[in-house]
Amino acid sequence: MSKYRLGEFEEVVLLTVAILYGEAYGVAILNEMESRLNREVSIGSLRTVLSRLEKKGYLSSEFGESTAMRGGKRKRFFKVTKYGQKALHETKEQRQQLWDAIPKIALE
Amino acid sequence: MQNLKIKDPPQWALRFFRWFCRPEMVEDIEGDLMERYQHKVSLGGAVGANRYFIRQVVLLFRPGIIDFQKFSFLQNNNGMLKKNLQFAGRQLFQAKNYAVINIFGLAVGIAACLVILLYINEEWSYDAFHENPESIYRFTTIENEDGIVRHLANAYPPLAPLLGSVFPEMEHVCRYFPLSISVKNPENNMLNQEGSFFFADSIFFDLFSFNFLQGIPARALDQPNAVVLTKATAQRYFKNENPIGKSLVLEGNTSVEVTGVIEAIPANSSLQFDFVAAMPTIRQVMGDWALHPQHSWHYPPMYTFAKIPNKADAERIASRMKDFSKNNLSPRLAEQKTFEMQPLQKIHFDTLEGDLEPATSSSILYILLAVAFLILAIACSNYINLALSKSIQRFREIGMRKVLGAGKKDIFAQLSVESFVYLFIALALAIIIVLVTLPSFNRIMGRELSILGNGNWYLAAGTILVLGVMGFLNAIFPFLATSRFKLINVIKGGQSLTSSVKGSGVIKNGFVIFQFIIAVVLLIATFTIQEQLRFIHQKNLGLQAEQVMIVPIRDDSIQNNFRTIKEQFLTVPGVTSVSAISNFPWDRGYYNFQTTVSGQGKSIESNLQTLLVEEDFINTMQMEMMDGRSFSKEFGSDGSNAFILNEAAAKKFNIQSLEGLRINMDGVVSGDDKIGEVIGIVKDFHLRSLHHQMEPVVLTVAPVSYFLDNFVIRLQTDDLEQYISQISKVWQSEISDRPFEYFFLDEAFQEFYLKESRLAKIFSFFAIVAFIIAALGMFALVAYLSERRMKEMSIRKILGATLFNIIGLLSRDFVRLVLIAILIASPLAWIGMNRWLKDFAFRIDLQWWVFVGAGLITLAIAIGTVSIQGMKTARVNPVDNIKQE
Repeated sequence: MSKYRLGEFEEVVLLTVAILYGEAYGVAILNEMESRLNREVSIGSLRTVLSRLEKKGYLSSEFGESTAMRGGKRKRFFKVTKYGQKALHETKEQRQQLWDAIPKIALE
Repeated sequence: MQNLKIKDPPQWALRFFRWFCRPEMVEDIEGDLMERYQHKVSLGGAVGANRYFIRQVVLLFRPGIIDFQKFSFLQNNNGMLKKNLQFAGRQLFQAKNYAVINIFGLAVGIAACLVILLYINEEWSYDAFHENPESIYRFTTIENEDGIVRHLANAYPPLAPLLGSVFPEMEHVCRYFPLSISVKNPENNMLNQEGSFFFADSIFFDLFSFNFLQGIPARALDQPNAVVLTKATAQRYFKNENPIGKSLVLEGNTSVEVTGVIEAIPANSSLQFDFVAAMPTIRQVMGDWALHPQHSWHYPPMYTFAKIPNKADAERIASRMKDFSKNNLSPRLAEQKTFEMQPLQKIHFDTLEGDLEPATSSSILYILLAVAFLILAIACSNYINLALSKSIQRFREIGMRKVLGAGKKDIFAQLSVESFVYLFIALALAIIIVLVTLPSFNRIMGRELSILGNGNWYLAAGTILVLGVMGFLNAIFPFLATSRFKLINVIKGGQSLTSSVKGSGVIKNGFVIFQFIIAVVLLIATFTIQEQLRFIHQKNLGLQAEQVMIVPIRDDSIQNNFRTIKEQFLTVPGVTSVSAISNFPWDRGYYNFQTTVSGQGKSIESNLQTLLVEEDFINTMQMEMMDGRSFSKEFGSDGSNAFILNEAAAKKFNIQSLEGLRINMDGVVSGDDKIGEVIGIVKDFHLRSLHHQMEPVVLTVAPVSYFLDNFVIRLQTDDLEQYISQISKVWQSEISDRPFEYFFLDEAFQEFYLKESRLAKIFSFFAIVAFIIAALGMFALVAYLSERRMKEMSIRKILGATLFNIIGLLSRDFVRLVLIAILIASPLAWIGMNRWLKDFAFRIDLQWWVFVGAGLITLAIAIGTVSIQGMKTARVNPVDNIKQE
């Protein structure tokens, strides 16, 4: 078994953060997920996952600028750490291995 | 999008989010929320955006975002409270004896205090239910007859109109006159002798506020022959019929109509009555003379009240009352009668002659109040003392808790919970004790107190406050005591620890002395009062009151047939003697006649109390003649011209022999004088209670049977009920519309001392409470001290000390304290009881054995208490105490 274990939602969030490289803060991630996956996500569930990923070391974060739109509150930008990247790769490889192992006839 | 105006989301949602969110996340999440919100506003308007915002906040309320420390107040303290309650319960069961004693002592103290406060509360609320009670005054009479001054509660009929005309500032000058008369309902022939029947002026209900159930207060007594009943009386006579407009017949000749029904009269009212009839009715009942302006300065006595709304007016009128008689009455009357103003709410506390309801002495109330608070103070200090001495044993436990991480707050919380659990149980027990004892207390005191009575809320508040303070003190003392020591010493325990918690020794000894002083004083007081009561009971009254039945006559037709009825009574077996007399001590006043004693070269005039009797009176009462002879029918002239004086009168007139002594008594029979000779001197006898000195009295045979208001019947002892029913039959065969009433003379005499016997009972009750509490306090102290001296005692025991040696050692200090208490208490009790005895003209001397007896009982209780704990200490295996260090 691998030491990296990502839940489905965690993986999606991690990937989205990676997509938005350098621009990944709360609302941006929400928008991206909504547009790409057509998936309604609440701020609460997103933020919980982001914190969990950060705690596990897959993400790091730092404060950015604030805007009037945000009521003067700063954005928190998330970045995928090296460890996070490894985790993503590993997950992808595991999936690939699984895909590869499927007999052709099964998915026809 | 960027140019959009900034809108505000629902503030409460935002504030809620800010409160529950973890601080490190607040800023960026709030930023995200705002950004999204503004976006939604720009897309779909404020309503949808608000809804979105609120939903997001609700969805944010989840683990991972919530800062759970914010909710710790809910979780942790609940848990601790539960734990603390559990500890308290364990503590309680672990030290059962201690808990029972401690809780019981406190409960007894609280209960005693509550009962007394309920009583005092009721007493102080007397007559307060009237409207503006402070502006109502009663006019009382100071009567000076030949130097004998009496303060009477009542005045006379002409006073009220005179007051009204002299002082126009007075409102509602009102008289009432209580009478015992027969009342009959003509519809069902129900007939009763009614003792609480008032005749009152029409403004009675303007002055006094009694609640009307039916009828109009201001007009109820407007018409002559109108009568107002209390609800219970109305039900007695008319059952469930509407009483208004119904008629009643008074004395068989006067018809009155019911015009109103009032609620039951409050127990705390000085005016207690069942009927009030309009004043003019009295003319029909008693005759026109009753309100005749000339005669009525002597009789009938009427209670006279007025309202003076202005305080300054009242003070001015009060100061002018001295000259009132001089300025408005004839010189002769003015010499005899002066009047005083008495505030309505003082009536219950002043003892005046002729008051209808017994007064309560206010000094007794203050004494009771002081005793109640002292008992409470002692119970509380005992409780804390006990808790303190107990807490020493718990230092180790508290120390261990501290080592295991309990903070000061936790220790204090634990001690507080424990203390309040104890107090709560004590309070519950106290309430049970009050509920159980209140009925007997009510019976003794003649009251109807209830724990749920009106105006008792501040008693409840007071109780809770006292308990709150106690609970706190009780937790803070052991808490402070433990925090004074180094933790290491606390856990190591041992001698150094226990011996360093003395300090308060002087205070504790003071408490013990103080408690026993109160207990001893109460005990001596109880003994003395009981001795005086026994003295009263055994005192030779100069007449034999036992087995003497008094039958009030109240009817001319019986008086007219007096001889016949007397003969018939005498035929009843068991009746040894029958006679009659004008007045008896419980009547409101005696006949007084201007009497001149002349002969032996002198002539002295004086106003003498006169008993008008039937010839056999002196024999029936078994009175003793000192000189001369008693009345006798064998001397046919006795009926018209014989007088007998008592010893006091003989002394007053300085009579050595009866030779040629003549008496002239003014206006006895319709204005004619009664003239005759003194035929004998009778041994002094008591007409009134032993509070009063022996007064000069003259006895003479009633010239007309009209004066004879009471039958006096001496019975044999064996079958009283049988005799009474036969006498009653004789009575009823003679007169059908007059109920038969009777009472026994010795019982009537005992009623004079109701106040004293109540006092004796209440003091003995308090003495018991004081002893219980003092003994508990001592028990606590002994427990504490023997704990401290455990090792010493163990070593003594090993070296050969006996059980008694050890008990002796432990009790020596306490015996000293109790002796000091007895020494202080004795003179206090001596002074107090001498003052109390001064109320009696005939009294015991304080007996030395009362003091010695009280002292011995106290010592016995003290030594007994010490011994219980001493035995425990002495019987412990010494090894158990010495081996541990």
